[in-house]
Amino acid sequence: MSDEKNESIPEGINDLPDPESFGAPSGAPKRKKRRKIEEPAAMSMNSLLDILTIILVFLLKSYSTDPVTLKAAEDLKPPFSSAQIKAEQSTTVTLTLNNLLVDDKPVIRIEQGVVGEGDTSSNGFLVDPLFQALQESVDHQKRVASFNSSAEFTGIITVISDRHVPFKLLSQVMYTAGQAQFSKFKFMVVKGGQG
Amino acid sequence: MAKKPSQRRNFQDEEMELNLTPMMNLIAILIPALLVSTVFVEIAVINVSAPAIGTAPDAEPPKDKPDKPPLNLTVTVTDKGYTLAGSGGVLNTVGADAEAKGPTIPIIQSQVDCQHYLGTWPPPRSKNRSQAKCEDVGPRTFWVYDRGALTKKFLELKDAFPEETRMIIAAEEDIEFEAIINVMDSGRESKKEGDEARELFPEVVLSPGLS
Repeated sequence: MSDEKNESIPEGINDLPDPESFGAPSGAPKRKKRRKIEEPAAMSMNSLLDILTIILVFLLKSYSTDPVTLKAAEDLKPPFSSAQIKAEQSTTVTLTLNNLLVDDKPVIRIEQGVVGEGDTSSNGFLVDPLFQALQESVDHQKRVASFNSSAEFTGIITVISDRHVPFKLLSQVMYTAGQAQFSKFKFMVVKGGQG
Repeated sequence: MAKKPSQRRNFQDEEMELNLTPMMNLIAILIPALLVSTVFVEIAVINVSAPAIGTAPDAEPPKDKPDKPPLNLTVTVTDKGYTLAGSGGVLNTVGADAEAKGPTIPIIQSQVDCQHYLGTWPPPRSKNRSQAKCEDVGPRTFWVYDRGALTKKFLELKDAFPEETRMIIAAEEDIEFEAIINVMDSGRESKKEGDEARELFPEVVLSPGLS
């Protein structure tokens, strides 16, 4: 009966369809089942940030406690000592075998720990460029003290010296500083004496 | 228009993650900068006065009784050793007869741990320069100042003059700063095993000339 009435209905329409006809033709890329593009799993940054923040806070804290910091240089190695007194903020003179600096500004170059003849006067004890630089620093401090009554001129000078500096240079520096009205000397050393 | 629940799945997630890039920038730059500028050395200072060459001497009234004359303990550092002197005269060489004209405590040859002197020699350097520098950690023989004997001498002097706290240090021109700091260390306090630290001569005066 179905054959005579419906000629347009093809034969085999009730057959099970061929599964391969549904898929894309072979050779084409297969579509993924899920339409959404999968994101790569985001790494959880919480613990890493915790560690880095703590390290940062620690470094910030240890960076600011020392008023006098030692520049790590090859030719500036203060000797070890068992001294325990803490350093304070004051004018500094740095002595190495090649340089003299006042408050981290170079003043004069020297040869192997010996100041050149032309730079000394007064029996070879006063070092002129150093004297001028120290006097400027003193004048500056006294000017500040005249405005600010809590910052008086203390006359303290911190000597940061390399361990190889000869005594003659040291006494020249101390004499010059004395002439520039510094009366209290503090020698900077590194903790860790042999006892 | 309200959608059926099954049609709401195309919503973009409202909850966005905190953008950590600026914070990570900060940390990634600050931490190396601070690490580089951190110096892992501890600094201390030694107070020294120099009334001989300074303008204003330390205004400290003498604490000892006026009838006791000050000792004026002077330690002169030369490249041959330490010479101790006081107001009574120069102390002679330890163990030698009274006629000997040498330093009170001559330098000795002794084993030195090279760890503190890497890249250089221990003081007195003028005597040690002929040898090779300290390259590796380990004991080597050098001419060194006899700090043990110096401490012993200081203890004897302190026993004899318990109220003295001042020490004058003088040195030859080419004696190194390190040797002078060593003398100050030996004279500041003594740490004997089992006993507490005893203060010897913490007040240091530096004298520029030679005695």
